[in-house]
Amino acid sequence: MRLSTLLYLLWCVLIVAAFGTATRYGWSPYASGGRPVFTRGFVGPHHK
Amino acid sequence: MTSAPAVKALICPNCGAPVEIRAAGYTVSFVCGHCGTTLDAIDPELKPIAAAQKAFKKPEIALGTRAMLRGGEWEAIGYVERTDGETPWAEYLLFSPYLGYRFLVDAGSRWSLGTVLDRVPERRVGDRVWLDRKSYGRASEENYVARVTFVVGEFYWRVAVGETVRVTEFERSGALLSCEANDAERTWTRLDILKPGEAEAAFGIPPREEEEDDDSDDPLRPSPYAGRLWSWGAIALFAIGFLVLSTWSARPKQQLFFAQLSAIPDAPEKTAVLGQVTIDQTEPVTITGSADNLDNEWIDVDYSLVNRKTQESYDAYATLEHYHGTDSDGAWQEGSPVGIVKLSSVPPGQYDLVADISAHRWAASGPYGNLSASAQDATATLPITVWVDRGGSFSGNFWTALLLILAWPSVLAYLHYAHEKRRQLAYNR
Amino acid sequence: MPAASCPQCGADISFRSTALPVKVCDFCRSVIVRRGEALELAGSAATVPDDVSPLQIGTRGQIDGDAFELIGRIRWKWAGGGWNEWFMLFAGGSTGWLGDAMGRFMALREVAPQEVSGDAIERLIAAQEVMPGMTATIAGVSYAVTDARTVTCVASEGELPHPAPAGMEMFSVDLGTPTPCCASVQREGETVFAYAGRYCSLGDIKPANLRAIEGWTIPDFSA
Repeated sequence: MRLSTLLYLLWCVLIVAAFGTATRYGWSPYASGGRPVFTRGFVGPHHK
Repeated sequence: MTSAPAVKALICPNCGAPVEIRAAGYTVSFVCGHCGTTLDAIDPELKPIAAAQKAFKKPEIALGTRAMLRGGEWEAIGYVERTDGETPWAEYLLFSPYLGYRFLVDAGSRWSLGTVLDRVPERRVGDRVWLDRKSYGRASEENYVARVTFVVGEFYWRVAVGETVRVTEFERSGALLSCEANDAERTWTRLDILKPGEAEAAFGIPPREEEEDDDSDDPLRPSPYAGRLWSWGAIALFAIGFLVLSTWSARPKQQLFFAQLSAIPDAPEKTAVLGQVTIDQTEPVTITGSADNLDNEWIDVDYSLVNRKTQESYDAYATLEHYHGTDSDGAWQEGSPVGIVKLSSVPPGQYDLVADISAHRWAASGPYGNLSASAQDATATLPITVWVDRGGSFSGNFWTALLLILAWPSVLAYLHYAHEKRRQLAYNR
Repeated sequence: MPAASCPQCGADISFRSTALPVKVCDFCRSVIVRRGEALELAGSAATVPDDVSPLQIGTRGQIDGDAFELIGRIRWKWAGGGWNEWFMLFAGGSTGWLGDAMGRFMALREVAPQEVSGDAIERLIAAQEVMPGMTATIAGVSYAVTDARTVTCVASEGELPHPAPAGMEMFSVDLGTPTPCCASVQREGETVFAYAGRYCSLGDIKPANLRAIEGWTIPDFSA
């Protein structure tokens, strides 16, 4: 097997392992957090 | 039963050197390896029919060398050098009494094995030809003329220095169809590109240096990315399979409870305890808040999931809003009265879900044109419904993981495509 | 099959088929022609020159399911080369020719005159010039002429349908198609013969009893 193929295999193993762990513990970088420090500078409609 | 002799020993009438005919009965012209004179092999006297060549060379594979190549035993019996006017190349005539003839083409970094076809490829749409259910495209826009510059050994046709043929080539990955024509006849040959080192190892000559440069214009070279693309694709498919498996085996989303509350616009912020949540394994918690009757109003909701024992708080924030108005383009609407927050990795424990709610009304006119005046009473309360779920998974995780897995094969696929495109455009012998 | 003695040298000869009148004595090379019960001498055949053909008298094979044995050979030449025509005797008694040239083989069977027509044929019968590109229809297949030339008999051996004296000339026209089908039409003197068949490789004919050639191993064609 070429080196690059082996590296790609390891890369995929890493991704799958990380995904599995995150799924098991319900973790995600896309989770909601508290009120962000800088929300949009004002509240209200943006239209125009 | 005795075997028939394989070699016919004769004397060259021009220089007196002993010569061996290896394909007696088939060989028509024989070029003496010592003096370079072409002899008529059909004539029992071996009459010379062309004068000795001036510049004499010894082929890299000595004539008479035997080798196993692609499942057959072959003997190199003839050697020609040809040129298209720019690039020279060499061809060996390989012979086996039981398998016939083949051409071993030496194009420098690439060797190929040619078989003369006994059938003509089918010509179909455009410039493609079909042979044995495989299609070949034109290798280049122009034909070229191949001219013999040097010859030694035995041949089954009347070979001569200076003889020319017009060559048209068709290619697919790893193979070439060559059509050679002169006034008298037309011959089709299929050339299979050999692996690097294959011909050299078979015939016992030093291996040629492989060109590592992927930008080489060698048109006979199939894409170096093709093989890897298949194995990487298989790896990616397995990895994606595991992602899907992992997602399915996550605990599905399960509703815990829902609560109803209300807020008064422009009233001071109020805090409400929505309910209790029991978590028994680390998992996400999804809180969906919805306010139906928003009319140019918005509600800020700060959620806190507070662990009763440790008092640790997991916070999230949502805005429920809806605005509408008219301007020069007509009526417009904006904002979503539904806000979904998802808390990640909430540890096991007993929690109270607390929400700080504050509602506001937008002024009737402002920098956004004229909003419709709120149809509601200044003191009317806004109902809010909140659903709480636990479990489930984040789709964002899945898509991110998918993207990361497919990133490298995509790069490889692009490189493969670019190489093949270059191969089509840059073909020039 | 009747056994007999060569009228010239007395060696034992045998005829494989009652329909085939000519046999070249293996020992003295006399051409023996059988007319009814009598055996007549008709000159002698030149010795076949040495070659490395993988076929020999006695080689057996199958073409499209029909089994045959090679029982005779005529060697021909022209200005640009020479080749062997091996005489095939099929199990049912019919015959054909297996052409052996340039490492390729052509298995041909005679076609009846009523199945032969076309521009090239008419010109051949009328002894007019036949050129590549002219067409003919033989046994229902359309062909184009690929080659037309005078060929000379060099030598012969074994059992043959007619005498083949060295120096005998024949005008031979080869015809081809985009498929491996091929045909050959020949004029010897006043008679025109037509043959049609196809190109084949040694593997295609499932050969047995091939000629052994020193230093070469006979490949396993059954694979």
